[in-house]
Amino acid sequence: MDEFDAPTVYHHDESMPPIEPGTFGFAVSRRSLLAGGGALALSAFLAACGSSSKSTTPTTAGGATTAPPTSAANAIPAAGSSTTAGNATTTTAAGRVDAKTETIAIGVASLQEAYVDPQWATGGLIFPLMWAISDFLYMQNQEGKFVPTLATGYTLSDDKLKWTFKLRSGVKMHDGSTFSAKDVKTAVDRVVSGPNAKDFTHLNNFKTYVTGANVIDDLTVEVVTGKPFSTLVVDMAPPIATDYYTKVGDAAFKAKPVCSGAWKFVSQELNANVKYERHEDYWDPTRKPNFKKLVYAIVPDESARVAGIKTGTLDIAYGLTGSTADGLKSEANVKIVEIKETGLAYCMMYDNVYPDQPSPLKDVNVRKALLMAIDRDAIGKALYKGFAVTPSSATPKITPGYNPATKAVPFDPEGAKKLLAAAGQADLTLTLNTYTTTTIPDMVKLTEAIVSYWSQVGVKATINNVEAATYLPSFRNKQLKGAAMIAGPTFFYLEPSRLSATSFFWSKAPYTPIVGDTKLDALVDQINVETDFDKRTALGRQQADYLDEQLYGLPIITTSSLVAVGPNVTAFGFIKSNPYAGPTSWIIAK
Amino acid sequence: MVRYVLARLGQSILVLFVVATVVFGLSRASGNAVDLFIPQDATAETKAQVEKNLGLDKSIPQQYVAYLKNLAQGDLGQSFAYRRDVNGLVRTALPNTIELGVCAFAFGAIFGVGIGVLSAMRQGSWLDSVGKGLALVGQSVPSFFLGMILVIVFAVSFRLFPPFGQGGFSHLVLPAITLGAFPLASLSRLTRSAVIEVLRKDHTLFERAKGVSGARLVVHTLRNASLPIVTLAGIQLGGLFSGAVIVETVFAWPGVGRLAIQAISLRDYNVVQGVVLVNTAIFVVLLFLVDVSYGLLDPRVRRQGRGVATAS
Repeated sequence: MDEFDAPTVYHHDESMPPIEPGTFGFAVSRRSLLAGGGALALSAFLAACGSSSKSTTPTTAGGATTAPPTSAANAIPAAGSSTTAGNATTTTAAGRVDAKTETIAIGVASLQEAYVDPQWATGGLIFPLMWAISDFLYMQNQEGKFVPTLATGYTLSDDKLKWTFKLRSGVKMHDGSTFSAKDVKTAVDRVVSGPNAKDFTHLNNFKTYVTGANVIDDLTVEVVTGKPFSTLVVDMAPPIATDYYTKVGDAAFKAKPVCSGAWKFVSQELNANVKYERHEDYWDPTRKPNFKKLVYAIVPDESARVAGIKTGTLDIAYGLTGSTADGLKSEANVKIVEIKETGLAYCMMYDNVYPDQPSPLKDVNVRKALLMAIDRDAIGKALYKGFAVTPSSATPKITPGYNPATKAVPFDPEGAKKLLAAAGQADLTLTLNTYTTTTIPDMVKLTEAIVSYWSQVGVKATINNVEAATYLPSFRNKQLKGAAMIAGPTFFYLEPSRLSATSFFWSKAPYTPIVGDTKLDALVDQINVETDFDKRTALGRQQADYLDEQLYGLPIITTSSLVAVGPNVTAFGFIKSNPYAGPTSWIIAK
Repeated sequence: MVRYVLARLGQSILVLFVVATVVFGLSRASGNAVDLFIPQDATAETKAQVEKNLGLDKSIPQQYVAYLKNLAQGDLGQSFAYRRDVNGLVRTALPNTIELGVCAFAFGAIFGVGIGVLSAMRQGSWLDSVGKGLALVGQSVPSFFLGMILVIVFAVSFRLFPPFGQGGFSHLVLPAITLGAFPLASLSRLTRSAVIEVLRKDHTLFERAKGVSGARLVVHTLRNASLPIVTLAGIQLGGLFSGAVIVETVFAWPGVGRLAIQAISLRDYNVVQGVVLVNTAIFVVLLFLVDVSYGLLDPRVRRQGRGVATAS
């Protein structure tokens, strides 16, 4: 076990191999992806899988094939090193050795409404709770790819309406019952046709497609959709313990859910903490925690989380700003983990939402000039202390279709002035709307920096800082003018159509129309119906290039999520671009 | 006295009604909560369904009537975000706030009054200077800053107390001191000035001339100076219950303040209304008790109540 004897900033090892199909994970379900921060995106990969599909047994969703069984955690490096190690020796197929540390306490700023029931989870901040208690049919590996977990594979009927999943055997639920097809059916029925189905409005999209599930045999279940549903696999509800659910009823299950994840729910103290104990009969030895208890402590104040790490009250603290992380460099027992590219701050050229109203922001050269005027590298270094990078594209790197050949628009104030002058906008004035968000730290300061850079090329911008609860509805409901900042959680953009639908580029997004570009709309239409992953990725590339050409949303900065890790943790692994706490599959306690 | 109590009760109900109405109006004026409870890619149908589920598909007057009806039955409604009874949510959080508030008040009142009396009795001495200095600091340092300093010193550096959270008595110490600092300062200043004023009265001089002991003199003086102190203490106690938001955030204390902040950010109307109403009710009750205590502390008030004129 490594001792922390010097502060080290280390990074996610992007070369880390994917983990054995079905041996690690997390589960993302529609509900979580949808509500809080924008609809999750997970789907593309699976969709692709489904398309090519006819029987895909152990492959990762999205067409990627998993490597041989290798479970990996990022071992915390020895003092002085600057990157994470690849594989932790503590994780083996034979299982993990119990740590001396019995409890790991993870501090988070919020768990939102803190539903402990995974089918009620809404919003990104609820991921920790969902990941703790649930295993899903397919879950993400550290590369972000979905791999078979409680399922071992599936087939899709020719009409693409029936998905037949083969399920893993030997899985125990938290109540001791054996996992079977009926647990999948119970979960589906609860949302689709149960007595409280109408309450699952956050799963309306799922309900739009899925009509029910049929048990074929103990380890085979068929999920039926009314129309082709390319993202079904990742949107599937987590299986729930049927006998327990039937016995206690919906309301009691909601308060104390029983699933099959690595952690059993113990208690919830609202706005304070959620506690779990290890599921001793957990089926996957490579992901079974080596500590017995897990506590998610809700600590809204950043300085309190830092104090928690320093005093050992917390073992892991999420949600640090760059300056705080910078300040922790002098702490001998604290390591800072940088999870790269978890948020992308856009400056949306909002006036494009009004097709009939003239605006200088409708001129692509003006938009480009506004981007050229901003020294994004300097912002990354000064404001984010280096924990942010200049994005080369409006499409995040993890989104299929991202074009690595795209070069970032360079900082060129003189060029910006010329473009503005040529467009007749040398003395451009506009409003820049902004708000505070956890996805992008210091969003308001970032806005101030942008306005400052703009002023140097003659653009007079007025900041309109609006409280988030008012800002986001205003943004959605076309109540803003000028330009508007918006935070893009890259973790949600694992599918190219999600980028358009939830980032307000696509005018056909059901409830959030913005741009109204017919060419872009047509492209997204194609992406949405394309079930072949490679073809979808190619279309995603076209979309990425087009967005970078049009610059409806200026990609300002890509930020990292920073996590402080205390001495009781010897290895800390995570899913690429995941800013949320958990899953704990790759955390090794000392 | 009964008439007095009944009049005060009537006023209290009126205050609650007005507050309930104002909060209801302000909550709705802030915008439609539905926008915060639907996915970004939600359809119009989804939005309509959510509105229906939350009861927001009805007109504002209809919502208001339903709200008052429920309120009359003691039902604060359902939380949009938590999907639980607001009564239950408040019932869970309120004891935590009361626990913290009472401890903070005890700290503030005991030390505040004590320091105030000492300062007054030793007016002009170094003790008086220290007391005035403490009062100045307590009133001028923002609670979040004081909290952070206390955490750095007593939790991080000396490891004497936990930095946040709820548990045993040790968890209460730092947040209670942080929350109680302002009442301590206010009460010490007021106590000092009130006691000095009483000390200057003829009857105190007479007591001194009679050779009354220092301790007895303090008791007599404090009782004569108590009306403004009790009034301020009552207001401060109410403020501690309703104004602990920042301290609860800094120390991750799961009280009503945290609940309110989260509800506001989510436009969870019913929770916001519930929290404000409960806090108002607490305030009203405390002020009522303060008013009643006047009669116990000051015989002139009792005589006034019986229609006996007091000497001016």
